[in-house]
Amino acid sequence: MRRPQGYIIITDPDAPTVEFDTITCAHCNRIVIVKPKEDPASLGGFCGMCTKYICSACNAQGSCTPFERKLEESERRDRLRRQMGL
Amino acid sequence: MARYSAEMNRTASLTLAVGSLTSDATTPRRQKLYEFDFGSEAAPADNSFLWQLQRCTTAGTSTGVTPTALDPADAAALADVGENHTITPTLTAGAILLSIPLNQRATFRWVAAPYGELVIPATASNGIAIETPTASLVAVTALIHWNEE
Repeated sequence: MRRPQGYIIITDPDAPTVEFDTITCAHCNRIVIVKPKEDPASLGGFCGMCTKYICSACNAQGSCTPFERKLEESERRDRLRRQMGL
Repeated sequence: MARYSAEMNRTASLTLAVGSLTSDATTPRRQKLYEFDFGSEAAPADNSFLWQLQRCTTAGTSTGVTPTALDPADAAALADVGENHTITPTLTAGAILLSIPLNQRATFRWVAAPYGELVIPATASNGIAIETPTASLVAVTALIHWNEE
């Protein structure tokens, strides 16, 4: 695919080396393996809000919560907890 | 932004993690995992493995691993790396980032392009655990590379 976000190489002495492109879901950060000539609909989707690739589970949710926002919320809660001495 | 690597080894377990990478409990920093390699150095055999990367909220109990800075001029990593867990990390349900079935003879490698990394938040003890829920009880190794921000 054009501009994959990752690459997998599986080396097996008894089989040909297998290589795949991957995408990283922009909502949940999962790795999605892109097989050659796979139906794009089975991979997930393209979020029109954050304009990034997402996995099928996040595509089915129908909402946009970028992973960066989830990171910031988690970090904010942790900073508050540490400020309160918990 | 410094880059580090760490190798984790254990005799595979169905319930205990091979290793984990977590943000430090007192000085958490964001980590971006951009490469990992899995495999078994045991005598070749046709056994099935299932390797999983799953988010965790605690580091569990493990043998500490000292990360290696890829640039010797960089400071020591703040992230905590553990191997050979005796108490597995607390895993986040539904947060399996990668699940790979693999033959014992095979070696697996994943490398991220820029902005494709697996990100660990700067939240105390949050991280990613490497598990083998399906495995033969042989020696396995996982190697990870990450950026610490």
